[in-house]
Amino acid sequence: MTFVLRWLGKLHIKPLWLVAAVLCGLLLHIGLVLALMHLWPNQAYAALAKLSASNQMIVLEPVSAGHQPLPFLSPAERYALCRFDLRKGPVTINATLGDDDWLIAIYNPSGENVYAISGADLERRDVELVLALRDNDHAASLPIIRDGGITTAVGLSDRTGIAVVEAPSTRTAYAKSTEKLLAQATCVQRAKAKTPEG
Amino acid sequence: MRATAKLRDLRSVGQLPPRPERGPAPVARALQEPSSRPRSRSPFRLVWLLDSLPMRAARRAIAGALGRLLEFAAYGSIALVIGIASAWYMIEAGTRLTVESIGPWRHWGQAGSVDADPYTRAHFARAGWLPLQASAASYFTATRDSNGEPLYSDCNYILSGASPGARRWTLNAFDLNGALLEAGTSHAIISSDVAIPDPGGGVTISLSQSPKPGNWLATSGASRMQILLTVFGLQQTSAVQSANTKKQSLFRIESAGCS
Repeated sequence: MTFVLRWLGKLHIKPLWLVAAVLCGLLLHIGLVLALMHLWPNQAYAALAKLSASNQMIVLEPVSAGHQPLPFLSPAERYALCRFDLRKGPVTINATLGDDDWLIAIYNPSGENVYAISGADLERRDVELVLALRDNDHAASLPIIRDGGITTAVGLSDRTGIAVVEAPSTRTAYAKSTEKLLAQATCVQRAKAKTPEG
Repeated sequence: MRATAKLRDLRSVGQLPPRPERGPAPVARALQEPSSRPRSRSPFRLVWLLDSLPMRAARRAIAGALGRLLEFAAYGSIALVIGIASAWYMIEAGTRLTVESIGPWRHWGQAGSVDADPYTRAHFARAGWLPLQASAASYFTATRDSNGEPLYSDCNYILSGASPGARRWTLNAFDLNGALLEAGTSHAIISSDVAIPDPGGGVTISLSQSPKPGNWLATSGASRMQILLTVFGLQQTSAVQSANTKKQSLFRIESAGCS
């Protein structure tokens, strides 16, 4: 320790100032990480905003080097995406999952996957997800009973986000049915929440 | 008066040295000399001004302030370098706290999770990537081969190992920003759906620009690249199986020369 202090003295370095600089560096580190976490997140959401209006499901072209709206999208999958907005009420996602490897994922604007369900998790292939704000009156009436089954209600803390229907594209024999099922997926603003009585 | 007359007599006979010529005293002469020079044009005037006592004090104060400022800037730079470099490293490369290393593969354990740590969230946010939560998929990326050498898209590689014990897996090659390398062919994907298994049950995959027999993942360009292995439903298998998949069943990446 004495040696280090003597060495710092030879370099005209003040140990206390150095400790203060390191502490300031750590504070800067924390500030930067927190700031970047909140400043960066909208890249995917902003990229999708250019592709479609809100509450509208779009089927992406097969992913290739020329058609890759988001980084790390795999050509092994086909994607249908909806940029949802819950400010005017809940949004319903309807999709039919082709097999166990299909899945529906809900992301918040920060790109965190708040909900995911795959075909392997379900007994039925028809899925209806009602996305609603957790603190919204609409959410109070969830879950909602539907003819022939129960619709899954997903309570969200963000008003906006992205819903993704993902299907394997490597099974070429199923390419047409995959395309058809993705095209049938919908993302609509729910006009009025049904109640169990109604 | 008499003494003065006597001195004058002595000087006149040469017994005393002659009286020096009268003139201003040395100090007064020194003060007068500069004034005899043109005031505004001479640099000596400026030197004299700068050397005056008040100016010396002012210079000393300015030098002291500049020194403190430089000192502050030096320590500020240390703080900036520590803050920015450590933040960049922990977000971009990750540490053992956030990233699990399995051979050449790196796995951000909390990718996609709402409860992810700030570094993981910032890492994926910066990349503009929408990862699935761990219960649905696990992502393993490799930017180096099994010998620790960087991966280049104009080089050939052979991936070999047991097929990851999960419901489904896919393998793709991207550049370091996540853009797909290969355009136009159906060989931009290898997945468990299309991979041909070896007689021993494992899988061998060739990564190259030119076609290869068996499982071929096409690359293009001449830049650094990364390989992304996505394993779906890994956590739906048993915990032991999942751990084994992570530790043993991920492909080895061997270099096979560059084109």
